[in-house]
Amino acid sequence: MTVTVELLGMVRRRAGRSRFEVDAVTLDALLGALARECPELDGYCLDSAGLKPGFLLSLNGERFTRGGTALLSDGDQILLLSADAGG
Amino acid sequence: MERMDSAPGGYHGRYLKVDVSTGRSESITIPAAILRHYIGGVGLGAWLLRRETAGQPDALAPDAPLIFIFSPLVGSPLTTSAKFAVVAKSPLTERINDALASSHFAIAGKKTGYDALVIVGRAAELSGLLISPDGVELVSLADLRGTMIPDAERRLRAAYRDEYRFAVIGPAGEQLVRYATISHDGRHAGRGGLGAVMGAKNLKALGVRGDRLTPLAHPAEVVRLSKELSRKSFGAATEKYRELGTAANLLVFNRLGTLPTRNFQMGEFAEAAQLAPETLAVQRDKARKSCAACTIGCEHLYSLGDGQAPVRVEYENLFALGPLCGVSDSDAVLQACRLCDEYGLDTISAGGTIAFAMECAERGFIDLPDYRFGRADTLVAAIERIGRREREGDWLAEGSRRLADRIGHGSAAFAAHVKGLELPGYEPRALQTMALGFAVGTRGADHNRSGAYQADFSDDVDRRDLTVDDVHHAIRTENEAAIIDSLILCKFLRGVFADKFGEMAQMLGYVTGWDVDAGELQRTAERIVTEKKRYNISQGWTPSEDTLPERFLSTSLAGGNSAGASLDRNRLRELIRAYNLGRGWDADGYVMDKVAD
Repeated sequence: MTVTVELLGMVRRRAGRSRFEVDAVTLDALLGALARECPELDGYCLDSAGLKPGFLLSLNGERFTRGGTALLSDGDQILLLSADAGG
Repeated sequence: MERMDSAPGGYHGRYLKVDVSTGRSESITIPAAILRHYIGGVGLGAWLLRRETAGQPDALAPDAPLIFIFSPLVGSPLTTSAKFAVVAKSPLTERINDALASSHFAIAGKKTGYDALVIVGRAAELSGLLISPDGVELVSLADLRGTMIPDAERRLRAAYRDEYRFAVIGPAGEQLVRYATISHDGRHAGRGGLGAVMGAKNLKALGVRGDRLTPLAHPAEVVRLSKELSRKSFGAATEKYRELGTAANLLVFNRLGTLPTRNFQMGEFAEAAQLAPETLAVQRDKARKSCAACTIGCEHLYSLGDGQAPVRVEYENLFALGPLCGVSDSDAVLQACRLCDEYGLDTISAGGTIAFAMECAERGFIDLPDYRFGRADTLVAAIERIGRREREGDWLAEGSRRLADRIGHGSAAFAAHVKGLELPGYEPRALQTMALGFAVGTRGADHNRSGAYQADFSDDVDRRDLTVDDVHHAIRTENEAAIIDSLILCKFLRGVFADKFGEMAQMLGYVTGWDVDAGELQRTAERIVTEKKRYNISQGWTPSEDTLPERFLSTSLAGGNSAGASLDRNRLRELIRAYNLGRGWDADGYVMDKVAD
């Protein structure tokens, strides 16, 4: 499945890019693909356990999640952002 | 005047009450048990406000107390602890209002030898109140009438050779604009109109100086903790604030469809990128600053050109004066931010009231043809007129609730306030834990006393479909805020604590000498929230106030990633009921006698 990962806020700044297209079947698999695709994020918001605390995913703008085995579909959009919304 | 021998570490154990009608002052002891029960800042301020309020005074009446209050951590080396709270009855909400600011005023104020300064009365002319360990003095500042805040501060510093630190009001406070601020050194006790309360006392400035220190119970441990906290404050949990500032929220919220736009008619602003810090940083010179005694450094200032001083930009300023008014011209929005700072206006209420007037004008309810969403010139002109209460600015100076009462035509349905306080930049239909926090907030729609958005930005809840099982998140985050705002520390440190209450208890224990643990702080938080509610009940609160404007309960959100999000009246009522019961109050929100004394 080819899905689009859109990076927001500090994650975008760290990666130096705003979006990626990756092939992944589940969100957990996507996180692994993302670490390979964008080494700048490895150790920043990703580690061997997946998404580090303080970061979130949103599948097509729906409920926030930190990963999981939900199956992805072609064309899905996944947002990756930090969870600190204070302002 | 010496420190009370029995006072715990970090405290003087007394407050000063000054009547500016007569110039008389009185030092009053604060029992040690009360200090432990309410800590300082907004907690002790709520207790003092209830104690010092007789009957139900108008917020702008001479006998309505205005309280400047410090905390046991002020003056310690703990990062971000140079903060003070200002507590009073709000002229905007007629309910409790507590606002915080960070600056050297806090350190100098505590060195006067008091834990709080309570001001009542009304001076005979526009005055400055000077407080030091040597006594109290009232001086004429009639020559500063009408001066903008930076000018007033500059002239006071020169006149008093930097001996005093001054909290001042601008023209908006003098004119009793109901959302005027109190300011010091570019920082503002911003929400709820405390500047108008000060203006009603005919005080342009409060000056403080002193040399009275409070000992730390365990100084070596405080220093060790301070170093550790400072080190952690440089980490990933505060990176957003250092790198982009709070304005980083703008594009994130816009993408999620939670950015209030055109008076909350939409959750997405097509031109948001023009105002984003990522764009401003490319187009303009930028500087970064820190509050006093802070290692985070979240202040981001952008140049306006033409030799004008750079403008501090926060998410709430940008949202309220940009998307909420439909304005994308960054020069105009920065100019509006600067004018609010100089006149002494709360940017959220200013933007919220102007946006409301724009919608009323577009609907033909008022004859103000220039009030159209997107009109940058109208935005800037409106702020000047509000700050001086000129022309339509005199109406807008009353805030959106009173303006809706005046306009009629059912406009109250889309006046975006709770209890009179305009909503900050969190779209409640798409962030429903925050919606609950807004509805039940003792000071009205507020993202600082309720940190409920933290739950919305997590995998704990479905932010667009909150259930009664999720209500405990609103209570938890409100309790955390109650302690942080009473200690007083910066909320941007939240993310650095692995065990918030445990670590904050340790901090408080080392400063005061108390054997305090996380469980005690949890009970203290509940007591503080309840104390604020008790004050509101004493001032006439009724359950009907705990709600959201009709727009949020009858119209689905339009536009953007959260399109279709909705929250109906019955569900909100159930959430509020669960919140009240979760607090140990009755289902309507009245406090039962047995609760948390």
